[in-house]
Amino acid sequence: MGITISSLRRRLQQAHDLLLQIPWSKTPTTLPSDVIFDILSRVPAKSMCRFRCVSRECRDRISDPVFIAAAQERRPPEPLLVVGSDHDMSLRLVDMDGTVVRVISGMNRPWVPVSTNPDGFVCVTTGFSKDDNLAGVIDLTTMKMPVTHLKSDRAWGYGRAVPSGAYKMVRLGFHHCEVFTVGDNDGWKRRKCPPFRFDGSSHDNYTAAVNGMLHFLPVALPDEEGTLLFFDLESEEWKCGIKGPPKVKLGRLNIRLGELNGSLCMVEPEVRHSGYTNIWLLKDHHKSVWVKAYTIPLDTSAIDRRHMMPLRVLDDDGLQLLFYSREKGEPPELHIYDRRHGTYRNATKELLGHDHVSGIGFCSLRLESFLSAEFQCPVSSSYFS
Amino acid sequence: MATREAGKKMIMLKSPDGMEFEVEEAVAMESQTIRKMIEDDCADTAILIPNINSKILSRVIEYCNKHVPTTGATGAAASDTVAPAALAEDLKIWDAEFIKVNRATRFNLIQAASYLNIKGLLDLTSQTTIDTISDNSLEEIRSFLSTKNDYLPEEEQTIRRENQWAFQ
Repeated sequence: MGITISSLRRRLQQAHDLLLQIPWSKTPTTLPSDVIFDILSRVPAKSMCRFRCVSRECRDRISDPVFIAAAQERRPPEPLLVVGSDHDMSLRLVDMDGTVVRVISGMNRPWVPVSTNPDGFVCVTTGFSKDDNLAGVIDLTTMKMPVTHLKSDRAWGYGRAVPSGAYKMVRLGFHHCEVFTVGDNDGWKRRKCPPFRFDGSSHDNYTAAVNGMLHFLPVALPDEEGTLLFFDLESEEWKCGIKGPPKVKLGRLNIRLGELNGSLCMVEPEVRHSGYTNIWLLKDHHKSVWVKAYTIPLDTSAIDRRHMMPLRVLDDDGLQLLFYSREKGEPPELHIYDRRHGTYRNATKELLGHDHVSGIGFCSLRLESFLSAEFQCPVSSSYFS
Repeated sequence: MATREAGKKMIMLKSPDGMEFEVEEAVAMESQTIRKMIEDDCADTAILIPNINSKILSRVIEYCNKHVPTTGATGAAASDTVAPAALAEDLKIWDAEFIKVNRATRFNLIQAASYLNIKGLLDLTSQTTIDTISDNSLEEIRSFLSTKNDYLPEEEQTIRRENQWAFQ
């Protein structure tokens, strides 16, 4: 957008000078315009979208890149659920009150959202049961959707590089590793293979990107503890060496990886006390320190029967955990676990209504995307091999 | 410069209606504007605070007094015995009481916080205002912004449609 710190400062100084010239009445019924827009820059995204309908002046001020940049600095991206619909092939973005923010339409086949997505993107797949697997990413700011075939590829992942912010997909086969950077025209670029052979399956919950590192669950014998493999999305190099949580065997098939409020998380069905699922959070990347954050009374030990993924910690104290679970042959469900009581309740209806749902993921959206004109457009997809 | 207790520098703040407030330098420096004046040595004697009347200025000082980080002889006891979380909780409750003022006073406080550059006070007063306007109707927002609906009917229809979700 071409905003520099110095231009921001200049504008602020101008606003400040203007403020000093305003004759302040003793009992103001209204505020100087710059103070008002400072206040408006703090309102929730939903209110801001509503305020665009107030007047042209207001719409133009809210669309001003300097205003958006200042407002964005003040807030984390808005948390949203992305929900795949079974009957019309659309995806819906739903806010935490259950309001449908956007229907993403115009897609030529049913897509299933993956559970965790980097800011401003939604990753989708056609599922991983047959040979002809497709994966795609929807850039929610431009509404463009590159799609890739994963025919011979055994694993894939996606995430945002730090600090450049470039969004990248990685796919791995027996003897190759390739990287695709969204938005450039270079296509898939070959990179060095991981330090040991990786032949995990192409399931979205075997990989997770956190803070610029794309983590892969290792291939290990069921009894081996193993270490996590990770790919630095910025330097495009492989690293390894994160140990799993104590006594957790990473080679077990029912272990899953995910991202939870900015931390790497691991879903581990308990072996000894079956009927419980542990959620571990990686607290220290260098020392492999894991914390068992939640123990949920849900049996996910038989992964082909039921699996679950945490989506979001809903409060600052970490008491409420929103998670997704799915039983074989049933539509997916949303639950909220309450750590104080050790119980969970079904929140599917209050958040998603009664629609037929094919999959649920979590994504987040920066204010900039909410306010972009393209955000209103149907998705336009581009295939590449 | 006046000194009241050993080790505590005092600053005189003057409001345009002629009132004078003697405050600790640390308290006055909660305001980044005043901090800059002091650091630039522009504040040898009393500092005149333009446009903020004594009633509002005294409330601003009250806020800064409460929020100044507790250090030194009197403050140490408080921060030693009270856990940070409890202290933060106490401040939250205090803030909630402090901001129970009418709209005119709140607007005056916002302008004072903005001019004096006191982040905490600006956050508090702005957030309170947001809480009162976020769910307002478009008509109420227009009055808050002193603006008129100048959309053509078709234009308004389009923008309403684009932002339909925000009205649910």
